[in-house]
Amino acid sequence: MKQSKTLLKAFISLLLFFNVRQDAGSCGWSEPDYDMRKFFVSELSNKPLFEPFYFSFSRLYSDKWYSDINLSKDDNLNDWVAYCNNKVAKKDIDDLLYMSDALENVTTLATTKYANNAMYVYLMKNKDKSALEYLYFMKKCSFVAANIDEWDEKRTEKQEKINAERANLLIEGEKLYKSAKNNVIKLRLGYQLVRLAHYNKEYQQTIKLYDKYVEPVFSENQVAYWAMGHKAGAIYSLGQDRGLAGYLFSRMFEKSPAKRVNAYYSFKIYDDKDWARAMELCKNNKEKATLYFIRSINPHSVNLEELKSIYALDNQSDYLDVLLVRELNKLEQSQDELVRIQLSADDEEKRKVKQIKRKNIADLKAFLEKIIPENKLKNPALFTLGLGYCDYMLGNNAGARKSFANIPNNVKTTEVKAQITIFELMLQLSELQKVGETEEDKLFMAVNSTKSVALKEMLRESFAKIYKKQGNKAQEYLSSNDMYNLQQYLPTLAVTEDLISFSQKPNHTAYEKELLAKIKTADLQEIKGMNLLKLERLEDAIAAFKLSKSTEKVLRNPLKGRITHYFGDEIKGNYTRLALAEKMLELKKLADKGGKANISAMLELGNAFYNISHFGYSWNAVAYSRSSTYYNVDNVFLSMKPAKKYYEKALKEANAAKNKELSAQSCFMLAKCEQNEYYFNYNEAQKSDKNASQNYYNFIQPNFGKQTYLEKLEKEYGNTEFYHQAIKECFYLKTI
Amino acid sequence: MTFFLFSSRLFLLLFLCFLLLTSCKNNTEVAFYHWKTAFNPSNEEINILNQLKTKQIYTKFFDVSWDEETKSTKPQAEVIFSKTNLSYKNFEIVPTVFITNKSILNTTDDKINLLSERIFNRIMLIATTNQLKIMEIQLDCDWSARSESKYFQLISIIKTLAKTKNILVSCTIRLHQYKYQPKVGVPPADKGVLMCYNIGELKGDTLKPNYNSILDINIAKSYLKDTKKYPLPLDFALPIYSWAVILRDEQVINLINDLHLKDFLQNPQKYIKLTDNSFKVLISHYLEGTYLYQNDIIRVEESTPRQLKQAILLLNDSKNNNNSKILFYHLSKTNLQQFNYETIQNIAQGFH
Repeated sequence: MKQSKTLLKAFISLLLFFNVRQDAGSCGWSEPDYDMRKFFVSELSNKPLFEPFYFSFSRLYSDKWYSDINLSKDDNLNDWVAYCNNKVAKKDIDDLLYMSDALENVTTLATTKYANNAMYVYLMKNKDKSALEYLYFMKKCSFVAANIDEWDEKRTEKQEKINAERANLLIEGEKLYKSAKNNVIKLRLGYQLVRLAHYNKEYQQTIKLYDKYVEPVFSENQVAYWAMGHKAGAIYSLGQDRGLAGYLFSRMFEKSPAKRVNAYYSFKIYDDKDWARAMELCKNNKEKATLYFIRSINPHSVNLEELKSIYALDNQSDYLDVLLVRELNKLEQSQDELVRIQLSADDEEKRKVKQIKRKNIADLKAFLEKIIPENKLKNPALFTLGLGYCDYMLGNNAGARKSFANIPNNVKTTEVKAQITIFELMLQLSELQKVGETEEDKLFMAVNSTKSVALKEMLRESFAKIYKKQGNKAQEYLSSNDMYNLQQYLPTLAVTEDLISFSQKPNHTAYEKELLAKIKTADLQEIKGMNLLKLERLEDAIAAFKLSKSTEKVLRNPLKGRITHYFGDEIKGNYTRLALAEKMLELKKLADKGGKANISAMLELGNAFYNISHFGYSWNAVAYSRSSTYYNVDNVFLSMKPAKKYYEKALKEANAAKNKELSAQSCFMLAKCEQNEYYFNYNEAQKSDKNASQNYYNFIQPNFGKQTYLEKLEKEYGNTEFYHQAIKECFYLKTI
Repeated sequence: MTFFLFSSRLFLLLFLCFLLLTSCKNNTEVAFYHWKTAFNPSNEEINILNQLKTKQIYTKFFDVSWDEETKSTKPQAEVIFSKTNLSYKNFEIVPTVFITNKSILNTTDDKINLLSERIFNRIMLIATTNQLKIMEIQLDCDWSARSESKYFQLISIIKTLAKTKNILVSCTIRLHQYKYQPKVGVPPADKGVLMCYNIGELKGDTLKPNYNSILDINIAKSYLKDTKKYPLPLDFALPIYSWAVILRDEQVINLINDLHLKDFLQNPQKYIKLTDNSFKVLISHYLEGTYLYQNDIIRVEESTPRQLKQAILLLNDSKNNNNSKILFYHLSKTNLQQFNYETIQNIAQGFH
């Protein structure tokens, strides 16, 4: 484990090192990151070594490129197996090279526990002194990618020390190179020398060492291409021939899958001159195609142009397959929103984007229609699937079906068949008009068997639309919302009651069972209780909370009024939701009686309604989560009406009883309610006013000026102890 | 005698004119941001700084960014002062550190202290290595409601550390932070600098004539008018940079810095003009490391002296201390080709 972590760090350092550009990040452009829905399976291109380059808005498909470390290790082990004439098992080489400290600080293995290691024995038997010397040397060089903590204040001194060690190793390595007996070891030594110089930022020396020690023994071996990558990085760093550097990186990209991501990040063409120079250096069309392919790996590339160029150069190229799937995966991202749906007349911007997307799909379709009949492609089934999918995205289901039917049986691999099944189900779902139990069951089972996450989502969405048409409210709701959504955006009371009835009905279908899999009736009862509490239906809320059996505690003490808006840590208080509802009912009974003896009950009940609202610190009594940045989400408890009702009662009674302290408290809480209403109303206004964010002060400021209760507090209760305490704590009160 | 009288009158007139001119002379201090990694100002840049009597260069020392791999913050793109060109020694270098909001959000409460000390120590290390006397440190972060408390804590800690060395701590304030001060709070720095750039939507309306997201006076107005004076003494930062916004399929796909209208007007074989500041790409080609495809749209955004003058007039109302200065973002040879000494001087004169 430790070993692999070290390797991972070394790899990342190496990648960062090759990557000669350093973006400051403070004033740049970063790409957006979206969740993607893929119907066209990227793996269908059947190019696992290109996996990092499958389509993603985040430039690379996944973090799987970390596995390049193992890829690189594997390649290296295979090379050594070949070097030992297949006489040594990979495991023995692994033991010596990677899995042990065998080579650390030793000049011979003869006296160590590795004396019997098969690789060592083989090299000794063959008197291959230079190979053994190389192994000791290689181990000494392994620190070259050592990471120094960027915050380390002694990092300059540490770096200088490492640089000096590298310089010594360069001298030692050159001596070993001269005495080395065979080209394989010479190449490896050459690579180590180039790497040492590059890491020491001796760029001229890096290039010279490559030309002197690697070039003469260059062979079709990944190590040679790694060394080439270092030369390319040095050329970039010197600001020299960028076209040459780009070309060399493209060679590493093509020849070393282990360093493909590395080469991709480092490849940089600045202008047409660089591009022309790199193209000029290409020895054949395959090399040229590699340049086009690297250029296309960008979330916003116009892949059709690159596909056309690559096809013209090499119609058998593997890059075509990867690139076609990339393009389809990109185009399909917007299909639901923009391609197939009908837009309302006023959505001009979306309409424009829809037109562009449709044109892009149509252009790709035209290209596929042209090249498929030419019968030159290596993987025609993939391209025919692509053609059918273009038709599907354009809403031409008949065309899509025709293409899928045109794929000859002899090229229908298991993967192609699986993809066709997905497309056929998509076609069915797009044509669905009604859902009865039979259709539901049939489609659900079929979609489940494909294991396609995207298709499952599409099924639920399609069902939701039809259920809505059919008036099946609970099924419609659950098809669009999972438990997370249910808790995040609480359903209304009516929907919750529908859901409870639905959950209690007998004989659920397989689909219905899945909808309810993570939803318990008790949870729904809790949501019902929350809804009822917000509606002041305290007795009903108590009944629902009892059925929920929830023991979750409400935050802090909701009966206590606070001067500031401070939320602080989320400390659980003593009340469960049920206990709170019961307490509120008790207070309500007292408050409804009226009279000065019950002013405290009125205030406490007002506090309870205030604190369980979005603006209070016990918000979790009626919600599972609270966003501090927005609250124009449905069913958030924003209403100040119940709180105000009891504060107003309290104020009236306190005034009648001439209890100025309680009047001040009531008045202050009313002012808080009023302020919250201004914020809330502003957010409401924002929904209908696109420029509202800029009109914030236009809206808020005049309304703030009309804060009746705040003015009343200052005028009528300015001499109370409460007022003086409030002014100490309340920032806003201080500033008016 | 007549000649004598005439000469005396002329002298008096000239003297009065001189007095008038000197009394109107603008005393607004002008400073610049330096935002590149290599600090090696050209002679032209130094000349303009000298002509403008610039005392300070707000120099980005490094960025603090979040490293997903190590799940920690790291300093990046550290400034490298030229070892041979020591012309900067004649100016006060104000270390400026850009901290990504993500760094603050992801740093846990118990690590803010450590991060603050690291930032301060790194600033001082760079200063000592390059023999710079530091009088002020500036922190730049587009903090949000979620990062506010941690960022303010970081400022407080750095301020305490800086105080022991008689160093002031300033921080940048975005327009939205200025406007919504009661909501987002006021940072606990010694002073602030209000950033009057990157105001509009980057996507914007491409075909709207002269759309400029860098500086839009109307939007700036909506942020500044009817807003209470900021509780921190403020300086003001204005943009003299330019960039090209690249749009493809109605989406912004990249920004290319330091490009101007002339770069596109001079290449009619590659670009066709759509509006005063937007172009359509006629043939696919590389531009400054970005591959542009046929039909891409380019919108060139740069602030004009007129816009900057308007901004200055607007900012006069937000001035809250007598020592306010104007900072220009940012010092570079290409930017100074667009804004020479006279233009900058002229703009600064509007600030009083």
